[in-house]
Amino acid sequence: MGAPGGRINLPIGMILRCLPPEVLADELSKFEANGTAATEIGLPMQMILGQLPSGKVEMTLQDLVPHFPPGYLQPTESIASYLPNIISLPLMDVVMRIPPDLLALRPDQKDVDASVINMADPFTEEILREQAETARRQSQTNIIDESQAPQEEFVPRDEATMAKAVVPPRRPAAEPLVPSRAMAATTLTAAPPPMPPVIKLPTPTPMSSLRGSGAVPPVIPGPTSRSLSSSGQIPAPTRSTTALPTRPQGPVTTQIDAPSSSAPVPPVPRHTGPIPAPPPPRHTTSLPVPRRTGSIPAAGLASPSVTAPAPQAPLPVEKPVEAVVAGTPDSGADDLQRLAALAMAQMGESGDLSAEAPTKAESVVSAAPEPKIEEPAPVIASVPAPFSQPPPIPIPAPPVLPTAISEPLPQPIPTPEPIPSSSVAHPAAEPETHAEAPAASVAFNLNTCTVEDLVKNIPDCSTALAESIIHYRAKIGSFKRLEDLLDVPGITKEAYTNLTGEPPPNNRIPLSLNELLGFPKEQNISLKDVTDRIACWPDVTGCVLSQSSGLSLVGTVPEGVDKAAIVAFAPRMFEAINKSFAEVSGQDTDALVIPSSGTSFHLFRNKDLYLIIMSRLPQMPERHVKVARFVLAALSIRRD
Amino acid sequence: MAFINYSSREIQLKIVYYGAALCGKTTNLVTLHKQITHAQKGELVSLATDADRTLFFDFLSLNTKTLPGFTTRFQLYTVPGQAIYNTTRQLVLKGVDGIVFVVDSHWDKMADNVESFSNLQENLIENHLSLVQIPYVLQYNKRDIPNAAPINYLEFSFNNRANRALAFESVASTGSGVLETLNAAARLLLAKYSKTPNANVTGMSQPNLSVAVPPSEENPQVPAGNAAA
Repeated sequence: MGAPGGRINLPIGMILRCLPPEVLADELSKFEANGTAATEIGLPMQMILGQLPSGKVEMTLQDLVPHFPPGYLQPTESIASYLPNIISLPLMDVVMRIPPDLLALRPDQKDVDASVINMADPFTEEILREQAETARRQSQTNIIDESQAPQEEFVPRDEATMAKAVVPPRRPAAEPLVPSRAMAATTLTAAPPPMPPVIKLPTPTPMSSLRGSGAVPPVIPGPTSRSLSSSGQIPAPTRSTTALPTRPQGPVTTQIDAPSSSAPVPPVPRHTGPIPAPPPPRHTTSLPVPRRTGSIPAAGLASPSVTAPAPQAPLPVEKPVEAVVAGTPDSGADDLQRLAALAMAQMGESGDLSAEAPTKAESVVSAAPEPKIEEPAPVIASVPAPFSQPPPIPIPAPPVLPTAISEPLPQPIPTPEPIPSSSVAHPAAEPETHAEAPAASVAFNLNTCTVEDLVKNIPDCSTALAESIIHYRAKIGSFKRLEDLLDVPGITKEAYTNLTGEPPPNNRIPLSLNELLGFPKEQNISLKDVTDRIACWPDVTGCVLSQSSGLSLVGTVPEGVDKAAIVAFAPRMFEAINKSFAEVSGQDTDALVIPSSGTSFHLFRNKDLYLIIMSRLPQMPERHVKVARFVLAALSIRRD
Repeated sequence: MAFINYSSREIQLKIVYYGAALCGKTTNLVTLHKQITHAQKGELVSLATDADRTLFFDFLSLNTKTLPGFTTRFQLYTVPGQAIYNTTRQLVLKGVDGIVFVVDSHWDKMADNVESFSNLQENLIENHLSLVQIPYVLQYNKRDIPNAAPINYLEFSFNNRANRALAFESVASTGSGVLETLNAAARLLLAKYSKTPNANVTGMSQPNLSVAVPPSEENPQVPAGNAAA
């Protein structure tokens, strides 16, 4: 560390004040009067630096004497008896003259564990919880009778804005109602003042992304677009949704499959066609299509320039979305039944809409070519102003596209089997994914591969894990770095190593299910352990794990709630919600919150499992939401 | 060492505020007692002389529900800072889970701070413990005094060990930085105990018994504590 040979300059007067008067050649006041006390002498840094951590700087007079210029001290012989005396220098004056870099901490110091730094503050949480409880109690006393309750509003939630919103927006000013959904919402009874009795149907988030990505515009009929405009303005409540990693569930997968497998024939000619002629192919080579469920058309629609260069690179179309249904103040099983009935009714209502959906979807999926893109254009034109804005979607590398497209397509991907055209020819993926290339010994593109690729080529890669990876990729757009894989729900250290060929960085070793839930690593935990542990989270009153069939696997529910009913209700609720939600957002939601003043129901699902957490909090802490998603993903992978 | 009571589903963790005389340890507890308004706090027990010098120790109990399934009761102790009460300090340190070392920012107290810090290490050794095992947090108190020692010097003096410790500036008399310090100490403990949980805890259907946490591999001296208890 610091220059051992360096010197620190200290004013002579400061040192003289610490010496016994007998050793001074003259009185101290005289030195101060004639200004000589201000003269500085240099003491070896080494002599002082080592003493600093002791909180004092001491040395014998003998050590000091050689550094004094003549005329300040008595002759050495005459002060011999004082030489062994220990002189204590004023710490402040010394430290203030030490160059700050010499007070640097040791470079090899091990920093505090990240898990400690990132952990929530227990006491602050406790205080906040109590404050929230107090507020809730106060609000309950002010509950307005239901007759006065305001109409339900359709509140879309924009994930992007939600992430930024620190304070959960309570009740946005005025949100126009969506025809069908609004109707459904209005049938709900009112909610307590603080917690907007809102049917926050899925939504919005995607709104922004949808505009860019485009699956939606063509599908949305006139009225819907109105609701969209409103949604755009609405701030997103709650942060819990920010942690929605597993997002793109059901529909995403099906859509992914659809383009690649169900319509393999059309893509082939399209795919080969573009190769020779760069400019026109751009439309047809809108490669991302298969991968992310027809984002292309929308992209083209949203921005005026789109029509020509359709090839919007990897658009993170599948933004995580969360549907929130606000319950009535009295909540509970009654609410659920009412909501269930309502949802069913809505299903019927939205039947017309959904009938359109398939056709739209098909057009989106199978019609990458130019002619179809033009269809939706007029629809977009009818979209209100706010929607014509460019979507806030982070587009990975738009500038790369033109050049990449102009390159010969087949070159990039040495895919062994008939991989969907997009994955083979997706030029935009090249620049992004070259980083991953060295990782996998099998050498395929992580940003374009399919579930099958992963399962076939990666040892010990289960279908569930592969799907989780693909879903996560769809959510984030594309992997930028290998480390991004560590954010995939359910990924383990071993899986990461298998995928990349190297172990994860030390500071980012993914937690196993055991670690996540605080079980010893070696313990073989059962599903009951999982639900029991979750049920022990603060404010959580019950947790149930069930199958997609609606059969309960394990778990407990609070008193007064019918476990069988809630388990059977969850899949139907998702089904009902997603039926219309998918139209609005282009994807299904896999998280649902039914908040109420009593027990709030937090529903999570993936392909084959449902996790229902009953909590006193209408909004679970973000980390709990995250853990719930990871648990679900990890359980699926384990089952697989 | 942590005590786990299965019957009441309670974990007790002991945090000791250590530091030189008059550095503000008791003030920390008094302020915490005021700041934490929620119901889960006990009375502040202070055994002090007329001159407000801690005679034996101060004690404050605070509860959280951070660890799943259990109420975590943090028992906060202070030690008498004066040199002559070293035996008392050793006693209070028995079974400690975490330490908050309070540093007086006054230049004149620097040597006392350093001496207290080394005294802490000695007393831990007496208890078969060390700062390597026991999570600790540094609190640079009295930051409001004029000419307070600069943070870089305090860090250089007290936080230059192989493992960096969390350090906070505070003014205990006004409450600034006090809760942050306690939060950090609690986080360290929770992280420690959630990383190396007792295998028995996971069962959730444990018989009702109150037991001490068995010694972890890296904490072989816990048995000594047990024996002493």
